Amino acid sequence: MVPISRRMRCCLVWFRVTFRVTRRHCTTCRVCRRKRRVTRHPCLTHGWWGQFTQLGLDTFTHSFTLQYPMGRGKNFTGRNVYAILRASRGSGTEALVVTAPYRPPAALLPGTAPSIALMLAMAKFFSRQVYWAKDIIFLVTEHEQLGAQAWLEAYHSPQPLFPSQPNPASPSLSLLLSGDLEGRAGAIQAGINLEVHSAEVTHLDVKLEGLNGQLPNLDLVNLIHRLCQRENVPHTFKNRADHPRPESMEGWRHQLTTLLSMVTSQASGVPTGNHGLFHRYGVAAVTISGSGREAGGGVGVPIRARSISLQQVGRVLEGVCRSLNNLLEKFHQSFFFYLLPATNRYISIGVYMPPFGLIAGGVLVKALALWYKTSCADDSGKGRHSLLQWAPVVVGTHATCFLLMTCPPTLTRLGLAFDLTPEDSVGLGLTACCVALLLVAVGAAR
Amino acid sequence: MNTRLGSPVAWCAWLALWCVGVRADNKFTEELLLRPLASGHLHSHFEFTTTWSSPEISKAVHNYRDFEFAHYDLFPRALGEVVERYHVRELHLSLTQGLWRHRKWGYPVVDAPPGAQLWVWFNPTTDDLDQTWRDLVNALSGLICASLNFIDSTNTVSPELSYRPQGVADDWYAGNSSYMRYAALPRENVCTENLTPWKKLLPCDAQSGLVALLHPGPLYTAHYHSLSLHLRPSCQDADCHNAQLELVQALSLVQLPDSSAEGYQDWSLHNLFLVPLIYSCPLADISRIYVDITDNEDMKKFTLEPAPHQVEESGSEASHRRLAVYDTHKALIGDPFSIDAVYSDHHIYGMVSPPILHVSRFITGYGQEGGSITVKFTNTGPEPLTLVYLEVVPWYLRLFLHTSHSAEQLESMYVAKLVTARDRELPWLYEAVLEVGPRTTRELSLEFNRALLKWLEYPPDANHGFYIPAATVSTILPSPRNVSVNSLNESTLKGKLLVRDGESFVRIHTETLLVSLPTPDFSMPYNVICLACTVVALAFGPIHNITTKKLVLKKLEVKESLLTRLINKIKGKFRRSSKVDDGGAEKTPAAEPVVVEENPLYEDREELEDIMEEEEEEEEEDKDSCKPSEENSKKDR
Repeated sequence: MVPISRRMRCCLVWFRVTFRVTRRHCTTCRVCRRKRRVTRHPCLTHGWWGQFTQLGLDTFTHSFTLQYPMGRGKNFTGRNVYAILRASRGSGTEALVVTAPYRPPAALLPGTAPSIALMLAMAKFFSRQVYWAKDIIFLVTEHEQLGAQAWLEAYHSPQPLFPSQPNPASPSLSLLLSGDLEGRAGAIQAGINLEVHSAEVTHLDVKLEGLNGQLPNLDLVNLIHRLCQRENVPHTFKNRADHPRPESMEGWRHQLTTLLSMVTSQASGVPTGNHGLFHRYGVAAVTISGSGREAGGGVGVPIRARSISLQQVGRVLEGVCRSLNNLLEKFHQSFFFYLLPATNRYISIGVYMPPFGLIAGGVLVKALALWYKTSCADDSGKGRHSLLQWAPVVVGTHATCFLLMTCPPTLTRLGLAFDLTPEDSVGLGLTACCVALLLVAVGAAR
Repeated sequence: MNTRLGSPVAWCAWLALWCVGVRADNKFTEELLLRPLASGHLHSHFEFTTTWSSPEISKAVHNYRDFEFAHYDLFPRALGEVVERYHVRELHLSLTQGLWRHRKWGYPVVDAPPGAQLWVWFNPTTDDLDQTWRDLVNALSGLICASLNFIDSTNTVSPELSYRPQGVADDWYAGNSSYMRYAALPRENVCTENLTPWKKLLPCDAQSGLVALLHPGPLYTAHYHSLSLHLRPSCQDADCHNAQLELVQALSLVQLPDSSAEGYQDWSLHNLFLVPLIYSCPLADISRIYVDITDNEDMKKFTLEPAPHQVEESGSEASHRRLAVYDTHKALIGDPFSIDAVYSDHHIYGMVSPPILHVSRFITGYGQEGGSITVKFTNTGPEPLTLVYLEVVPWYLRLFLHTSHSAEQLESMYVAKLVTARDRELPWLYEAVLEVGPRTTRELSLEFNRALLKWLEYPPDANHGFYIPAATVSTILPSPRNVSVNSLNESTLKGKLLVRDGESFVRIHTETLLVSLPTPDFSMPYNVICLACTVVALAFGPIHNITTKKLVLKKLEVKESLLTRLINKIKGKFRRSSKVDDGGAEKTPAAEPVVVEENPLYEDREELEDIMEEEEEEEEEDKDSCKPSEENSKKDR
């Protein structure tokens, strides 16, 4: 496996300083926010920009704009900071991404200042090593997934200089103006998103589920779990540690719960972290999150007297980055479709697909049976299934669906009249439409 | 006695005279430039120049004839023979690891793309240029231990404008790109196996002189490392009456000295190269080390120990250069020699002002179907720049020029040369001339589709991706500011480093790109699919035959003339007698029912009959071939 250098420890002293600096930045920012009531944090982004630059990294900022289509139509702007560590043994053709979301102190979600500090410590340590073959991009994003999406979009399909040309490669409808990037570093091979909420964490949780339930390659997930195990860091999946006796009934039930919670979050289609947006671009990415004792710890995580210091987390991350650095080819083969009941077990697609096939097969059999029945009975009533009879229903259904799909902007404008927020007006409006349709259907049936 | 003593003396005198005579037309210079860069890195550039001037060489250069070398002295014979044999007039080879970061480091002395690059101008008398090029590439690949033999027609081009000859050349020759070949291998790795043969081309080998500093350890941990070989005919004097042959062997390194010291950029020859410099090369006419101290006014930034022998200044206000010069012949008097630079302050990393022109190139788009190569040219200067942009793209990217050349893109730009690719034969060659306005960024994009390769064409690491060679951008900058070398006609590094006012030519290379092509899953399921398909294909043939053809018995009605009947009877007799001999059971073919494979698709009876006739003829032939054996048997009897 990967030899973990002891020099990481030296960086940790420096890390404490950085952490303090970052915290101070946060407080100064809070002050400047109160004073000027700005949504952007120029002092903060400049702070990181300066810190990354002082490490000798190529540092850039990336601005993006969201044209919010609902309500009165507001423009939101954000700014990401990213630094590229140029690998001495590569020629800028491949890159790894280490990213962390920035959350202002007033955010609802727990802050991520420690993960940014950890990232800076990693950058300092990594920049003195000679073994890097892939450039490493350290990225701090703003506005949660919006920032990450804007950055990825700008990296992979920048908006053309001439807006007259439509950009077919851009996935979102020109609502998110992703802007342009000044510096780049080749094809991204893998991504690690850090969400460490405290300087002393109880365990590391690995989050996988991406946009629309897409998953990263299983090798990447296994790599992180293995390295955690080697470094003696408690590691969990869905905040649930492995059961000590997986063969027992208790253990089986524990694993089933983990599995079901994974399936639920996949079914929702919402990514569990910024890593989820990378999958669309063919980049395997995961989120490593850790939170302090106050967050309650995970289910089944052994309670220890001492929490895990950021040094241990750093050692795990160094191992992960070095392993990824050694990749000859990008992640392929292995598994992209799997279900995890525990950190060290998986259910492959070959196991879970046959039941789905059987379910689909049942529907098919039923349909055949119906068709057979109708074709036997069609001597008596041949004219019943004329096209004219069914066409209005089909056309009506499609028209209603189309209307429902396009109605949100109209609904938000209507909602403004009742002083509703756009989110509420869309939700209420759609519910109202559904109820109305049901009533129509019931009425028609009578 | 007197005569006997006299003759060795005379011989010695003659030999000495001859040696002096030969030495006079062979010159060797070794130079090292150490240049602290604004980004905190240190650029070291070694240059070893061997020149060879003789009336024969001068005549060959001016008459565009092949060189005919005799009596090698300092010039490497191994290379000389290759040059002589393959009709080479000018040769440029570079092997590079890492990417030169123009934005941070400015322009190098000689720019080279990552990987291997080779461009050669041949003499116009060469017969089969493509074959010569193929042979030359193989010879060089053996000479320098690089896999240059992977250069073939799929990555060779002849660009019109970007790679004009750098040596003595008339307009008619320089403008005819059919005499030149250019190829780049972006995936080529550089290592000690290339360094050792490269060192062996030097007159002092690796024993003494500045070459002794080239220890592989620090060389291959550097941020950038480039090894090159440039052969060209150059002028001996200003009006170029006498030409000479010039071989420049250069090695460029970019290191970060900060990695050992704590925040200080201190460096010394010893900790940069880890070997002491003890002996100077006695064959070298000039052996010097230059340290660029342009930014070091009054030694405020760093002090040099020992003090330089000489400080040379050149250039005017904006483009001004100061070099501290050390003469190693003078400095090396038995003890190891080192130069120490001691910095007074910590290095503070910050923004580095970019050079006048810098280019970035990247792939946009994702997925396995299409994408585009986007190039951004940035001109930070106050004057518009005219650039020549050369792109060589392998055939498996299918470029779309109609979408790339919108009205906005075509504005102030024209395509100088375009060669469309041919699958598995020719690469794309796209050479365009475009103008970039003052303080603007111009973007150019070439859309492409990714081709699906045949399954045997994928390399073993198919999922790593495929490399696209670096693009070349050449331009003439209005001022010599930021430019390392603005007088290319000089032979020595010292001459090149002198700043001359006026325009300066710059050729830079962009990043190489990694593109992933649609790759089949070369794993177990893929193998299973292949196997299953093979089995199905094998089963299909017999099943198709069984179901579409049937076997019918058919009696042939043979109409025979009297003569043939007679012949057949005689034959039958023979057959009977041979049957007795052989013990085989055979009948006359005429009376025998023949099994014909009848295909229902053959509806035309005539066609069927034709086939049957052919079969008969074959049988006849068979009988003929039987005859000799029958005769033999008769003879036996």
